[in-house]
Amino acid sequence: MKKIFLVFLISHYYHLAFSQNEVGSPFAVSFSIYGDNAIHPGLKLGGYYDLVTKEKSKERKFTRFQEKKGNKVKRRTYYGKVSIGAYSFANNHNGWFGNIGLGYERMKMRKGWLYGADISVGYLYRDYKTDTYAIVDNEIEKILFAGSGGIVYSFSPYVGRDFSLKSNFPIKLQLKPNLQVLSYSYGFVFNGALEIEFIYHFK
Amino acid sequence: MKKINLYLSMVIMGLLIVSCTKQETATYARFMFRNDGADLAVEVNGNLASKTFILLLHGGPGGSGTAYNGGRYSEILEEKYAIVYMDQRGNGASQGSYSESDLTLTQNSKDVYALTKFLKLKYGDDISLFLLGHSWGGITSSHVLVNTAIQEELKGWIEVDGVNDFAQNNLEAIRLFKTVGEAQVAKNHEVGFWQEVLDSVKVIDTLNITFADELYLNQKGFEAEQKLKEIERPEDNSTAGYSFFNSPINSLSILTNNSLVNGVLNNDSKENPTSEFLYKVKIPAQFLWGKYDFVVPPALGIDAFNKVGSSNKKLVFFEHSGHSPMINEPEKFTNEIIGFISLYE
Repeated sequence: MKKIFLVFLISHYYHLAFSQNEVGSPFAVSFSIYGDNAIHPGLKLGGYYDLVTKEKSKERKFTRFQEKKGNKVKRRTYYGKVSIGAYSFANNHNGWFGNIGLGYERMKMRKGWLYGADISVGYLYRDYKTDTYAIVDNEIEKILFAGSGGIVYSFSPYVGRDFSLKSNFPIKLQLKPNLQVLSYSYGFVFNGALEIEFIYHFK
Repeated sequence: MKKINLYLSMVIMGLLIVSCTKQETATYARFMFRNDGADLAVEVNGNLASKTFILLLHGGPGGSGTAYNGGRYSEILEEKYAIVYMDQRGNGASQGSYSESDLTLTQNSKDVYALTKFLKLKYGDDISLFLLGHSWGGITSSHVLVNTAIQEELKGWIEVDGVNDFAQNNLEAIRLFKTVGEAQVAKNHEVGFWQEVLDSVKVIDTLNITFADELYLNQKGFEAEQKLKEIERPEDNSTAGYSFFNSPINSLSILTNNSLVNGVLNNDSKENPTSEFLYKVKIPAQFLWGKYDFVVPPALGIDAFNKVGSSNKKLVFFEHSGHSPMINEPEKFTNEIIGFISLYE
């Protein structure tokens, strides 16, 4: 079942990629203020690549609005992304993570309001903030770089605004909660994070 | 400009709150202890120079040592002794990588025993070490006492409202609900609550107590404490040693993990009662129980006192306490512990 889904996903994106419209560079970079559980502060850096971008334009129902605002234009984008980041969990650990993902976004082209969601898979390493010891041959041994890690799956719906449409400021600002499932101890557990993300889209 | 200043102030304030940690003292240590795949979170607070250590095993399953690291009782005890707050495997801030089959009382006992060895290596072979188990931590403490050689390392065992036999615990909880409930109804106090509890416990089939029954008894046990006027609730006795932002266990992943391990360790504990093996415990033992503990009723304290093999043993009831006498009557609680330790340290 997983293989079928993967083949479908790849073929879907392959098809969409070759029917892509030309709308400038597909590359973007991002910087996020990241909060594990919203309260443990961190940073995240990322890169975006627009796989498919399509714009749809249609006339408004009311003539008055049509004359004043012009056509309703919406942009749909499918993208891939990679990111790395870190956060500090007080009195427990520093988290280091990296992930890759795919996403979908819809944007209204008049004011730049947008919403979307992405899914990603990655790895999180929890580097303990305290010393870690073990007993080896009846003596205390300090373990260097001790920590624990595991796979993280995340789903991130978001809302935001692209400021490049109203000004020449090529930045998108997004508020993005992360709903995560991650390996912990012996199983998988839920976790959450909150991001305020700034995205610079290359022209 | 005013807005920028406001935002900057908010960011700086936020960073200050986030970066503030519990007041550290010269006698404070926090570390991870790795044993058989688990990284056990350990906090050591108090008077290290006393050379007397209390290794505290928290309740739950799914609790944490951190929850016990605060409040009046810990202030008093830490002045005299060092307290080792250990997060058991799968609990609190403990982490690591292991399989579900390693989440057992047997493995927890091995962890506790290994930690006592570690404490002696770290703080000296001449330290006096006492083991204290509260609530579910009671069965971990009794399990490690009867299944490992830990008694050679300890000066004494203190069990506080600890469960050693889950089946017996359910029956005694029903019995206590009936006794106290009827008395409360007769006093015309919180009649609605007590009558509902009485009606419910009367229809529980004591030969076939279900998981839902157990949950009900446990939940109502905590609720009942809030309804009783007889229980003391000192206002200045919060056990929260950490703020919302700097607590080592404040996260959704830890919360969900702890609720996950609850079922696994509870089932294992149910299947491995220790009460019939308490005769193997030969070190001095002290049993401290809240008179109105519906979660682990006083009858279990009496049973443990009668079955323990120690020739030096003491049972104390706290007349104005529920499941946690350290919170309800901190002065009396600490006096009892200090008295016990002074005899055997």
